[in-house]
Amino acid sequence: MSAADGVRARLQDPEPEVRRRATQEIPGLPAPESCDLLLRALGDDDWRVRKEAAAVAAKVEPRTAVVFAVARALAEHDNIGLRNAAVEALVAIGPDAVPGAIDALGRLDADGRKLAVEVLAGAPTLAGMRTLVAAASDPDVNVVTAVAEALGRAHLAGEEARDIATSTLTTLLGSPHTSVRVAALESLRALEARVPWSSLEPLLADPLLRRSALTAAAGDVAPRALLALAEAVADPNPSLARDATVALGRSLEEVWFEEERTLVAVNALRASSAAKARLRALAKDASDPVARGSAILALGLVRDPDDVSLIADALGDDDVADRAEAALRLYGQDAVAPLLVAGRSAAPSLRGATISMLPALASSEPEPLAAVREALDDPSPEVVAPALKSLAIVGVEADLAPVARHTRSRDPKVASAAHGALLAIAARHPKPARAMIVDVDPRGDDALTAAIILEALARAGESSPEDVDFLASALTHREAVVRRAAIEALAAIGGEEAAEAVSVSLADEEAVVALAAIRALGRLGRAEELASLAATTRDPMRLGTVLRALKDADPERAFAAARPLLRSHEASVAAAAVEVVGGVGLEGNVEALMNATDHPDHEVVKLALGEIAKRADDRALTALSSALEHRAESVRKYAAELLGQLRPVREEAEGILRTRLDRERSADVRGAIMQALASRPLATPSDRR
Amino acid sequence: MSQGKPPFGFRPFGHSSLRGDGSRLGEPQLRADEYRLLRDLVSERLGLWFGPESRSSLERRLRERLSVHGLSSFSDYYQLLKYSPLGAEEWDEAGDLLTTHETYFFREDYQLRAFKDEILPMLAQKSRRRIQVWSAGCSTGEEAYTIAMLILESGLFDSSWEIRVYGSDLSKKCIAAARRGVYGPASFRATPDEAKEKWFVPVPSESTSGTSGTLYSVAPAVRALCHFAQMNLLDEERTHLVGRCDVIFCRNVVLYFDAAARRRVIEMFYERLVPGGVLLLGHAESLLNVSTAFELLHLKEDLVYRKPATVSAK
Repeated sequence: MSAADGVRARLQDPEPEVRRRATQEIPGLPAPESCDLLLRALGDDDWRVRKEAAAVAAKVEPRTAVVFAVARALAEHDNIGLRNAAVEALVAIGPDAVPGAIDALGRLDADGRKLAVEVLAGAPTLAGMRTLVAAASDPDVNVVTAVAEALGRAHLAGEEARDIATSTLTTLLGSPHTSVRVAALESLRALEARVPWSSLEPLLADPLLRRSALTAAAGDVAPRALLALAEAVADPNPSLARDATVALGRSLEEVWFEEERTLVAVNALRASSAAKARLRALAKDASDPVARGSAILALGLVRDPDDVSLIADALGDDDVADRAEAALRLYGQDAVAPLLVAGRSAAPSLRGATISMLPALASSEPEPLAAVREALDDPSPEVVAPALKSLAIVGVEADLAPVARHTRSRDPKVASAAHGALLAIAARHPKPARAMIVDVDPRGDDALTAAIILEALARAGESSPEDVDFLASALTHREAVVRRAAIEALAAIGGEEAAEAVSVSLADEEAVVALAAIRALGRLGRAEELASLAATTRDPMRLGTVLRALKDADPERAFAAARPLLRSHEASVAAAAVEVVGGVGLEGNVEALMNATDHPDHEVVKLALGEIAKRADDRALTALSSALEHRAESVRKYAAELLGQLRPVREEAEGILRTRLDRERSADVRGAIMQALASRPLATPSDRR
Repeated sequence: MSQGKPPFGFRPFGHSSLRGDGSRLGEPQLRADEYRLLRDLVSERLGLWFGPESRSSLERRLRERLSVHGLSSFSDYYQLLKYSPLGAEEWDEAGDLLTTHETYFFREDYQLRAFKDEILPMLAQKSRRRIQVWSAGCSTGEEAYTIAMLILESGLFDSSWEIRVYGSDLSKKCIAAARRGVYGPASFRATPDEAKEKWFVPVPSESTSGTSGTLYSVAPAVRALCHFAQMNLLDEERTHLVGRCDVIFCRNVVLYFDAAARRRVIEMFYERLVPGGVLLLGHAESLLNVSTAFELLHLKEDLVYRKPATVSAK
């Protein structure tokens, strides 16, 4: 019995699991049996077998024969499962299935044509979209509705496809059929096409179209559009009001700092208690962050003092925290008192968030400052760390000691925030800061505070000659954190003596200290020493740090040292070399980076491509085009994304992506290419060279 | 529950002009190229997918790690995660920050009823008196303990049965909390009073100073069934240690994974389940475009996935 006979027999087994597993073997069978058995599996009674068949269809050869055989199944009337599985299989095959679907569109009945349209939507290509545009005049309204829906995916086939789809969909807004108009509106939204308010406004009167029309107005800042959206927030239909709020939020973002332009919407919202109630309800709903964010923005503009605590609650929600911050900033000082009240009874993370907002709202007021200081004694690090960050901005002389106390916190977040705050306050108040460390023992418990303050003083230009001696002694402190802080301070002071002291720490047994010393030497300009280290260091992590430091000290020497390492078998070394070579901006660096684009470590290849892509020149196009052929899917996906994001925009990128899309077999990579095509910004005149 | 859940994001408001300065104190900004690299690395290592709209979330969540390590850019942090010997430890911290740990006892009760009223009676028919249930992505343990309570509550299994509820999560901190088994009011938002009385013990007030509300400890009988371990569901070596399971709960976890990671995890679940074993996903999750290996099992209150009992080996 041949393998094909074996699979054929098992596809007739009564047990679906046996048939499903037999289906998995179809791609390994020779033609034409493979194609025949695939069709049999696509028409199986059990959905799992059909699904499996659709999934393996892309692996069955020869592809052209498979496509036309499966496309014939679109004409099936009795076995609905087969028909639907055929659509799924053709979509999985991708662009190669488009000719088959175009052919089917020309000869099938209305039901079949609708399915062919679904295939063209699922495997979006320019040829497919052109066919869909022609099919927009199909005599059957269901087909036209399907076309209108399918054109909503045109952005995945590139700029030209998006343009022709937008134009067709705008025409379809005038269709006498409501289903077509609704589909056209939804698709225009999916294409992020700006539909003129004048085209949308007449649709508001139709209850079936009102919601889609309002949604399509998202981002529109025409006064009449803003007014209509604001009024729709009060609509008694909760889902319509929700969508209007989201659309309004998008429009408000466009004109956030232009109070005059938002006024028309704000006045409408202020005048409507129903609208305010709706916004408040949405602003509380953590399960719908999109609507919540928009509602918060709108409430911020309405500026009712009663809403401050409601908005403050959202500070603890990472998804909408930035919108809450933006809204609270509009209140300014009026938000302070309610925030203080809200913060007292809230969970630690929210308390922390409110504390971090206070200085931005009223930096010179005593009450918020007192609340921030009080927060330093909170038992939760989630409160203390933001308080320290706030004091870094507004803290004064009196805050030096309490902040310094936290530099030794066991919680790394708190210790790090305290370090930053002490640096900032000491730099603003150098005299009292120095007074604090007059009698400190460089090997004692307060040495950390002293080292941080000395770094701040150095940055403020207030160093004294004895500081280097003090810090050199601190380099022998029993705690690594102090030694590291001393190195940072010495780097900030600069000079030969400081560099000599730092060099000693290269031999520190703690990696974190030794690496800090290497970085410091870079800032101190010790190129000679670093170049020598680069030649002798074997440890990959250390060598990477040396290369980066050398780039700070002497970019040309760094380039010379890093170039031969671009193909180091140690990925971390090659990665550091890529970063250095990419960052120096010297002639020949792009050519050098090209060498890393076939490194065995894919992450190194991606790093090199990222650096090359920053140039957005012909060499970048060449490198990215080659990378689209790379054996690793992750690299091909990455290259596609970079091509889509090239700045300035290169029009050739679309052609490169489209050519690859037609040949790409991996569904994941195809998805990435389509996404790249969809996200490409329009080229401006200055982009065109 | 988490293995985990990245924050849901939408338009990258944080990178628009709306926020004005974009950061405080000149803190490092996550550049687009750095975001692409970090996003891919996180996806490869943890399976979590961050879309283009989540750049701001990723930046906010990881920024504190830069200051902890004294790093000046996200590029340095990427290098640390990818290449440094400190990377392994740092992934624990990053995993904690990138996942959400929101959960509570008796969550999604319709599914728990299906488990208690329909799945457990099926398991009680087993000839081998041993049951293992895996709560994959158990966060701070509430789900695993709830499952144990339901097993005890059913009265179907006497002491001759060997029962184990295994809870795993990406976050070490969550697992530590699960092992501690002490919970505050937020964990009880859906717990019936009688269940609270039966399966929990109030913690004496002197040991709860500085916290809001009474704390409760899970009763010893429930604790005895539950075992916890930190685990990345993409780590085949670790997941292999779980053993064969009769039931796997993995609710609201895989929907935050990218397609490839989702496929890998579902294949691993298939492999870990005994023939006829059941997989329960969250109500918004489906295997429709992920795997055809499971068959649908229609219960009165839920639709679950079952490894076919008829084929013993793949």
